[in-house]
Amino acid sequence: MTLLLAAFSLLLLIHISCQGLALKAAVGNSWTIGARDLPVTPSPLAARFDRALRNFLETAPVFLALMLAAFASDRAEAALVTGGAVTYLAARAAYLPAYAIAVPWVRTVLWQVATLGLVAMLIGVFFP
Amino acid sequence: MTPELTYLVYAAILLIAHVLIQATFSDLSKGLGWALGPQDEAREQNAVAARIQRALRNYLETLPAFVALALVLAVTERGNETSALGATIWFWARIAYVPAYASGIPLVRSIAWFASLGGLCLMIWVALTGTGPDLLIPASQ
Repeated sequence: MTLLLAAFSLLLLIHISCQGLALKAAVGNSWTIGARDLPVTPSPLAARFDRALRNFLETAPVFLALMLAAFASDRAEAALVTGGAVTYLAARAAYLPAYAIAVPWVRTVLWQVATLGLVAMLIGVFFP
Repeated sequence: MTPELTYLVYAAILLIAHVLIQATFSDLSKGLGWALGPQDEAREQNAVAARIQRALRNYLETLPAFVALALVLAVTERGNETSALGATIWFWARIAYVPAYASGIPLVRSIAWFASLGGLCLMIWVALTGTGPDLLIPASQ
């Protein structure tokens, strides 16, 4: 379970790296190291990575809260909790390239799968 | 309490300070009368207020990773001097990041950000390779 939390951290840093590196590739280093006062237009790929990061950050606190609740209530090893956490992380990991290559529907389905993982964790924690 | 968890409390205080500073600069820049209303129509804010807003958004991007790592290191009891150093570097670099961004001096902000990333990487390294009793709570009941 703690390995999943470490994996979560790595996945977040990968999101940030993809977003940052794609933006640098699109607009150049002189803008990114400056104060960024003037808006720039990122490439479509950089914009997708940015949206993927924003989307990940929307549900990431829910995942953390459920993991904390699972540890605090001795249910970290319950099947629904571990299964839900693995489902969430796997689907969120697949979500990033799915957004980048812009295949219709795939990204949306992955989001639903990840969110169902959160629901499974919620049930596992609160309805043992 | 482990050093990482102490810095987790500090991180929460920094978050509150971040939000208060951002709101103050933004509200003063856009006008208090507008800020107290429903803010229906959009208003421009000045350059410094916009920088502080971007700094807050940037803080919120890596904060979840820090929270997760501080919890991992506490639950597994794997935390050691290296991970405590990582948490220290992360926290102070995130503090330095705010004036570095607000001042608009090129490169300083980026260096502070990379320093904070280095702190997180130290914590990840210890979380994955460190030794501890790994007191995983057994699936009781």
